[in-house]
Amino acid sequence: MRMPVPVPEIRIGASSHQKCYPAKGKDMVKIDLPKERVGNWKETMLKKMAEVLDRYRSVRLFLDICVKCGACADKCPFFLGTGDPKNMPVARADLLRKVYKRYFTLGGRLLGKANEAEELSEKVLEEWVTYFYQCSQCRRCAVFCPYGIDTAEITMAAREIMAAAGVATKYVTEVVAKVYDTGNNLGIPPEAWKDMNTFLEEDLKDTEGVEIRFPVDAVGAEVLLVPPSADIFVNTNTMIGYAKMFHAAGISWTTSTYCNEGGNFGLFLNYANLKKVNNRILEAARQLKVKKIYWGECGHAWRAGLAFTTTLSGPMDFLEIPYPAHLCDLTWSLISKGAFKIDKSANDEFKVTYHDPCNVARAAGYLEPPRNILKATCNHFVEMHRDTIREKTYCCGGGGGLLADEIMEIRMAGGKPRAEACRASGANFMATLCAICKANLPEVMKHYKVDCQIGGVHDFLGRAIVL
Amino acid sequence: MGSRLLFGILPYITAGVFFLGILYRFWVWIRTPVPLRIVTTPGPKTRIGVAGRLIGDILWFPNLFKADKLLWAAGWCFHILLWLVLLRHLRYFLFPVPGWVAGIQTLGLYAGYLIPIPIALLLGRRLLMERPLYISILGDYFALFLLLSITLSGLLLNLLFRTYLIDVKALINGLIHFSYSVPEVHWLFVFHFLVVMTLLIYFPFSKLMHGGGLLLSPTRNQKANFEQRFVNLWDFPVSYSDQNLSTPERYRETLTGSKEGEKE
Repeated sequence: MRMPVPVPEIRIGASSHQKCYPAKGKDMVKIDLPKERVGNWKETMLKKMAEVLDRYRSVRLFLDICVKCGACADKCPFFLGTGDPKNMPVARADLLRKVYKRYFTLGGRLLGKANEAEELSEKVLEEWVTYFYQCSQCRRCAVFCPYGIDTAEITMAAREIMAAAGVATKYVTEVVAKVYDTGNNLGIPPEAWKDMNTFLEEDLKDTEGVEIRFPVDAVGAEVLLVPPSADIFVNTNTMIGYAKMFHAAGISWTTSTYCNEGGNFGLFLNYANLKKVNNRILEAARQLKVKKIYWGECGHAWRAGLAFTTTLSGPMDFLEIPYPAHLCDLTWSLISKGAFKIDKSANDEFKVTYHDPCNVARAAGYLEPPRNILKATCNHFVEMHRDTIREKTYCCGGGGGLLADEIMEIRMAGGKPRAEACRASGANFMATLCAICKANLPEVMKHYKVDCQIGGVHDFLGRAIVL
Repeated sequence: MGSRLLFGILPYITAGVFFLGILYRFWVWIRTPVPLRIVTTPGPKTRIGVAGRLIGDILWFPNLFKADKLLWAAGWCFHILLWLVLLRHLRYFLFPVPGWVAGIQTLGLYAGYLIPIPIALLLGRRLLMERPLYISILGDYFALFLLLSITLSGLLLNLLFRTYLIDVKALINGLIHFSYSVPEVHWLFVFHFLVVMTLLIYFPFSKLMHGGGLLLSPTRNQKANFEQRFVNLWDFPVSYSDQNLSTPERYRETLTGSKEGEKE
């Protein structure tokens, strides 16, 4: 089997016109950032850059040791989709590296442009705003770099530096601001969240004749479920899958109107907001007096949950071990113990493949549980090309704060390798474990005319479980 | 005077810059904290696993192997041949010459014949292939140019001017014992010697530190033991402003119905 997409020829500036809308002042003040670009933006950014270099070994080391071998160049889905050379991971990092060299290294100060050093200017900032928001922080490059250079670290650093001077995008800042107002990325107010849960309860009673609870803010429940808010709004089949699983297992659970969101857009902006959003999960768990937290089907939520929570918001020792835990852990352990009656034929219309979300696979090493659940709940499971799954998975095209409508061209370009791998597999349903993938991939499949539905892993359990 | 500078002073400056430079670079990297766990899949769970991963990275370049077979072949062959050539050169530095150094002389010699090939390949792909050409900068060509000059001049010295071997040994022995002597050597040796010193001075301040950097690269050297707490040394508290509607205090009020927000 051939690789899903051929490597394109370089087309300079091919995606330079794809820019996110700038952040709005009303959102910026809610997330503790300057309302607009500050007057002394250059000094502010250089000061922040010095701080970042002293705080993140990753950033300094990765800027220092890249040998520019180009192994990463054809690994980035955004380069494969656009052909814009600045979307090659090495070239993307060079955008920050040239400023680093100019102000923070001897060689750059002495030799200037000959040593690729460049002053921070309006032109450079324009490139930063454009290309650091054409990276979905999927980290595929890091898996192929001989030194593990992780462009996501560079992209995050650049975004953090820009944010300090009041430069950010409307989409990302708006989402973080919504979390501090409503508890979730979509801006669903607590009352509406409760209504939506009640609606699902009634709907299930009417259509399937089963009484299943969708508890909200239930103090003393055993489990706090932290789903992506999109699961109640768009991916309702996934939400129904969760509820049926808890119902059949007899486990008391709840969602929280303070933290009905696992997705953490602080990860796409700066450390302070990453921490502040993440803290909400443990705050909700303490107030609801639960014994366990399970993360739902959200990609970067699980990266933050698994890899960062103990650091940012821990310790988590008021919970029962094991933690941090993904809901698929619980679901799979119950399935493997035979806790559910499962009728696989309920999913017979689907030839299913599994798309590893970048953060779930590469950052969390979480590969088997979702596959196990799918294989236990459907009869027809296929894998895509081996260079496009597991830690080598391709981004859906919309991660890292890129799910904004104004850069639809970039989202489609980034999703291209995934779409072609899906086409080659012949699957008619792509299950995945991430709300952003579930939002971007349907558009991608439509764009490339691949006849494939997108949905969650728990959707399959929801359909196959016999209550 | 010139020869005194070349053989009596520059070698010591070179050695100082090389070793202190490397120590400085390591010190800067090591003193910079690693705030978050960013290990990539498949991440090792234990320290032994991490050691295995790093040793594998050093010996085999597995990521490069996955990424680009031709580049891997050129890069891997170059590094192996370079080590053989360097080990062969130990005979100029060790007195008396240990048996194993004597034993690898032939192997090192063949490595010396072959090493220009991968260097030329690495240079060629930068000049001829679209993507490497786009990303290459002066420093990339400079390093390859130095390496090519060193290996070619070394090769010529071996093939054409072997009689100077004793003098070279005397020179280095003198340097080690801080007794200055000007050897009678061919100009080609002077060239070889100068370019090597240039490379060693350039080394600590360039991308050539990539080997040392690999050992400290967080995505490669961290453990994927997520159940253990990872502490960020510069972590700071965060709080809500009156701009935010959804705060822990307000949530407590909705849950308990009380306005106090007292501790449970």
